[in-house]
Amino acid sequence: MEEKKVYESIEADASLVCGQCQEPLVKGSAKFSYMGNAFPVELPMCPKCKLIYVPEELALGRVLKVEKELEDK
Amino acid sequence: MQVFQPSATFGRIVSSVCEAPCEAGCKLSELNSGINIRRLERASVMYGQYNQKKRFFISKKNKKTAVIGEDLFCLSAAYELAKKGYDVDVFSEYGALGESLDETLKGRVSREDILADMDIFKDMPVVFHFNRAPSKQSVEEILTTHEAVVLEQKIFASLFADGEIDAQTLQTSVDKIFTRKETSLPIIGAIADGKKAATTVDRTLQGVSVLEGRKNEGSYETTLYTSLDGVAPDKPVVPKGKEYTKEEAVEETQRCIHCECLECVKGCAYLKHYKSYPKKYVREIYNNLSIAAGHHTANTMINSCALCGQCKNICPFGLDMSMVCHLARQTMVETAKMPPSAHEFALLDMEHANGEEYFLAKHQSGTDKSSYLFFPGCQFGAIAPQTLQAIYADLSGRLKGGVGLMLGCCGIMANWAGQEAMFDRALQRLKEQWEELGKPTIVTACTMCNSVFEEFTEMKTVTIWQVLKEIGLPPGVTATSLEKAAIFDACGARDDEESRKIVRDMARQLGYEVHDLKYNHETSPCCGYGGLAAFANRQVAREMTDFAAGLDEAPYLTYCINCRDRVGREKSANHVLELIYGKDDIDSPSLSQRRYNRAKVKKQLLEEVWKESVMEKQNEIQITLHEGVEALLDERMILEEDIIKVIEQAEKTKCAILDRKTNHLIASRRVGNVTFWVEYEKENEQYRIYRAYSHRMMVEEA
Ligand SMILES: [Zn+2]
Repeated sequence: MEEKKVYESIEADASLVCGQCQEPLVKGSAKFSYMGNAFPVELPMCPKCKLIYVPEELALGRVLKVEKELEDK
Repeated sequence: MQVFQPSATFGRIVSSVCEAPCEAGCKLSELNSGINIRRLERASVMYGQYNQKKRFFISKKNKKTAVIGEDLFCLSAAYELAKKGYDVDVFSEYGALGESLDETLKGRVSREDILADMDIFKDMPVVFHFNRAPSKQSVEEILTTHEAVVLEQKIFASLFADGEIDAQTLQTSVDKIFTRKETSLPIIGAIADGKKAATTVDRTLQGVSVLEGRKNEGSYETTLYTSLDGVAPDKPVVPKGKEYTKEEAVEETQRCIHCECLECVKGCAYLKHYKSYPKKYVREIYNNLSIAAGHHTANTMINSCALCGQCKNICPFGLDMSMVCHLARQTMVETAKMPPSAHEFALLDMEHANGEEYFLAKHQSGTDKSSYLFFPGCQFGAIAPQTLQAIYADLSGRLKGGVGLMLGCCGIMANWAGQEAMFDRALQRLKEQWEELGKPTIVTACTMCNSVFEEFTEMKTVTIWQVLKEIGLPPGVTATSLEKAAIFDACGARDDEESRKIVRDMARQLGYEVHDLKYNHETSPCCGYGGLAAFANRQVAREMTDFAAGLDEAPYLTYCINCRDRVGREKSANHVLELIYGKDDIDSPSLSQRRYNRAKVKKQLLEEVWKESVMEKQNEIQITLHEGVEALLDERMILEEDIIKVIEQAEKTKCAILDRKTNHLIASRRVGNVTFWVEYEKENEQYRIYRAYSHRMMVEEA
C-alpha cells in the first residue's frame, strides 16, 4: 500500500468535545489547501459530525509559515 | 588589506614606491591627514598572505601582440594583454627579467621584491626576448609578425620624434603602435597606463569602439557622498621603523571611516532594518521581479517600504527607493505575484471608508450648491471623529458660498498597494461625485489626500492650512501658555512647502515655541503608516514609529492624523487641528473602534447637521473583550465584526467545540479569504471573548 505523507498530526486534547454531538474530539484525516496546493493532515475532529479543530499554535505557526511560502512562490 | 591584493599588479613595487595619489583623495585628508594607504599596502605585503594571484580562466585570442621595452608601463601592458588571451612577445634590451626595473628603482625597491613581483608572468602566454636593442628596423620587423605593438615611451620618442600620442586611448599617429605620455606618476601612472594601452589594443583588434564606456577608466573623482559629521580630526600613525609594524598598520586602518554614503539609511528605519544599503536592495528587488518560479525572497521587503520619498530627498543623487518599491508592487500586481495577504486588510479598510458606513457627498445643509467641499480623509474620521465634526461646523459657518462634505478615501491605499486599477476606480468615483456637486474647491485636511488630488486629478484643492491662514483661527482660540514642541512633518507635504510653513506659524500663534527635528520638512521620516508598511510588516512599521518618536525629547506637533496616531502611542503628540478644535476622548482607537468611529461620525453628522434619521445597525450579538484581547486583535488584525460573524453562525448552527476544562466554546467561520477562530463564553446576554486567531488556508475533512 502506498504510504501517504501527512504534513502535520495533532492529537486531540482530552477536554475538547463537540458542542453539538457531545462526542470527545479524536484525531482524523483532514486537508489544508491554499493557492492551489493541498496538504493532508491529521487534526482533532468530532467523530460524528466531522467538525474540525485547528489549534492556535498550528494556525499561527506551521500554517502561517506555509501560507507565506506559497504566497512568495 | 584584502582589497589591495586582487587589484594591484606588482604589489611589492607599488607598496614601496607608489606616489600614492590616493592618500590626498582620502576623505580624511579634508580634516587633517588621509589614511597612509601606501604604508598599509606595504604592511599587507609584509604581514599578509601576499602570494601569487589566483589563476583565472583565459580565453585564447590566437593573435600575437608585442611589447618593446621593459619598464612598468610595458610590463603592465604585457601582463594585461596576456590576461585578455593574447600571445605576447616582450623585447628587451636588458639581459634578464627585472633588470630594467632594478636599475630605475635602485635603492628604493629591493631586488628580491622586484623579482618576486615578476612571478605573475609564470604560466602566462608571455615570452621574453632579451638583449634586443630597439631600432626602427626591428620595430618594423616586429610589426609584420604582430598585430599590435606597445612601445616604451622613451623608445617611441627616439624612433618617432614627431609622432603624436592620444592621452585618452594611448593610440599614436603610427598605425598599430601604442605608447603612453609622460605623467607626474611614473609608478602607479605607468601601471595604470599599461592596462589602458592593453584595453585599447584589445578593442582595436576586436573591432569594437575604442572610446565607448571608458569615462571612468583608471582613477576618477568618485560621486560617493560621505559626510564627515561627527568625525574628529586625528593624526596618522607614524612608523617607529622604516615601515609599519603589524600593530601600527592595524592602528592606522582603524582611522578609516569606511567611506560609504548611508545618509538615507541613517534616516530611515526601514532601510536600516534590512542591514544593507539601497544599491543592494535595488539589485535584490530586480532579481525578485526577474525570477519566474521559485522563492521570491524580497516580497516582504518590497511591501515594507513606507513609499514616503524621504530617501530621495536625502540622497545627494536622488536615489528613490520609494519609486523602486512602488514600481515593484505594481509589477507584482500585474503579474499576479503579489502575496494576497500583504494588503488585504488595508484594501478592505479602504472599501469600508468608501462604503455605506462612511462614504458621503453632500451640499451644505439647507443649500443646493457648494463653493467648497471639505474632504477630511479616511483616517481623520476613524481616529478623530469629534475633531472632524468641529472643523466642519467651523468651516461651514465661516466660508462663504456653501461648504459641502465628502467623506471617503482618496484612493492612496490602493495606490500604495500597487493596485492601479482599483486606485483609478476610487478616484473616478470621487470625481463623479465632485462633478455632481458642481465642482467645488476641495478643502483637504490630509496632505496626502491633497497631493493625490493634485497629482492625479483636475479637481481644484486648497489645504485646510491655506484656508485657516486666510480666514484666521476660529474665534475664541487663543495662545495657551508657552510650551516647547517639535514639528513632525508629514510625508504628504514633501512637495508642499506652503503647508509646512503655515503649520509652523500657526503653532507659534497657538503659543508653542516650535523647533525642527533632525529630519524635517521634506526629509522627515515616516511615522510607520505610509506605504501600508504597518499592514504588510508590523515589525518594520513599529521600528519606523520608534525611530520617528525617538528623534526628540519634546512633545510633537503633527499635521497628519496618522502621524499623530502612531507617534502619539509612543510619546506626547498633538495634531495642530486638535489644538484648535479639540481632541477626541479616545485618541488612539483600536482597528475596530476606527470602523465604529467612521460609522458614528457619519450618523451624527446626518442627524445633527442634515436632520436626517439614520437607521442604526444593531448587532444581535453583544461582545465583551476579556483583558488583553483588544491589543491581541489589533496585533492580529482581527475586527470585532469578524468575531461577531463567527459567533452569529456558531449560535445558529450550534457548531462549536466545547472545552470541558474552561466551559468555553471555540468556533470558526470563513469570512472572505480568512478563517477566523474565536474562543468565547456566553455571559448573560453577552459574549465574553477570550482569544481569536485566523488563518488563510482552507481546511476540510479529507
Ligand atoms: Zn459533532
